[in-house]
Amino acid sequence: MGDCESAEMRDALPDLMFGEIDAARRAEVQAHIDTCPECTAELALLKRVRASARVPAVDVNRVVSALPAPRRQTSVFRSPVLRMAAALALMIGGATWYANARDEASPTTSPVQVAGTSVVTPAPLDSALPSVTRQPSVTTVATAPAAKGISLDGGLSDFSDAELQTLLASLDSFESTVTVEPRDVLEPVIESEEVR
Amino acid sequence: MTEFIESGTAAPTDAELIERWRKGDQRAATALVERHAPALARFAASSGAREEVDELVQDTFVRAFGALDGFRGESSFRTWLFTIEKRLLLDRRRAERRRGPHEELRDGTSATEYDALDGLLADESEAAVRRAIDTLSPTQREVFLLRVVEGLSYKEIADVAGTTEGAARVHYHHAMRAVKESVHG
Repeated sequence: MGDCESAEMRDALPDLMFGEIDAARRAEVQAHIDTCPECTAELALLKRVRASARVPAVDVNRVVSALPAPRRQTSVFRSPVLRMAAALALMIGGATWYANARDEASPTTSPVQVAGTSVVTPAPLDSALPSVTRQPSVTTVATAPAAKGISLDGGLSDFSDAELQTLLASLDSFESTVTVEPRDVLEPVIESEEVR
Repeated sequence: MTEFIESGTAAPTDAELIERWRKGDQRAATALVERHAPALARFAASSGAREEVDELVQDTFVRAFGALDGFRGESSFRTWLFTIEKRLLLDRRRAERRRGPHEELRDGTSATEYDALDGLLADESEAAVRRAIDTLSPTQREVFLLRVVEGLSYKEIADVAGTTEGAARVHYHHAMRAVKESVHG
């Protein structure tokens, strides 16, 4: 007996046998088989082939006992990519914190004289340094309305435009970068005559 | 009326069993082995590994479970198992060839003691089908059995056999014609 001319129908026969076919397609293929002796014979042969397949015995317990243990992920950071990302985030966060902390500390650690009336003495960077004179972190003359000085006790956002301009003008007399050792930065303290 | 093979009922899927196993449920591993071992054993036997089926099936599962992290689910779990088993089978054949020409190559030649035993124990019809399948080339037999016995699609067969979907279809139809001629004469 020859082959059915429809390769498409012949391709569908194993799917029909295994039930891997939707209802509409099943009806279509079945309708074809009912009128095609070649496909009827081929489907019967397919079933014989499947029935003839013997299954050698497999010791399931022996196989299971040989299996490796599952690798449990107890922490999300078992992933090397996530570990790297976490380390990078810590580095960036730490650097940002340090930079912010240094920026916040700098107004009280640098000696600044503004308009001859305020004295801002640095907090000691290291209490072990014998040359550091402990002084209050900020000494201001803020009560006299006629005082020309600017108190740096508060933040820069408390300054008026005129005060900011005065402050900026004073900055021209200072080096913008630290070029000496911390010990040298601490001395001397510049005081105005009025404070004395 | 044509009989159909019913599909399974509400059993856990392979993906669900794999996830349970990952969480330490050993019963899930047992379920997976029970589900897929027969197909792997048939595939191994049909590929010529008749005396080492048990060992080959075990090695396949050991490899698979050790590499489950790399199983992306792009193919079915069974197809993936077949692929692993086939690689192991090819490795064994290469090792056999290196051992020397006196080792019999089980690459599809027919008439061994296995077929003789078939003639004694099996129905003649069944034996005729087996003889017909044995006349196929290794690739034709592999494609044919994966399609007819295991129900794999041409795409899945292509993944296992390392070929294309179109080539798998051609191999199947050539095999079908050869089996028909052998069985019907």
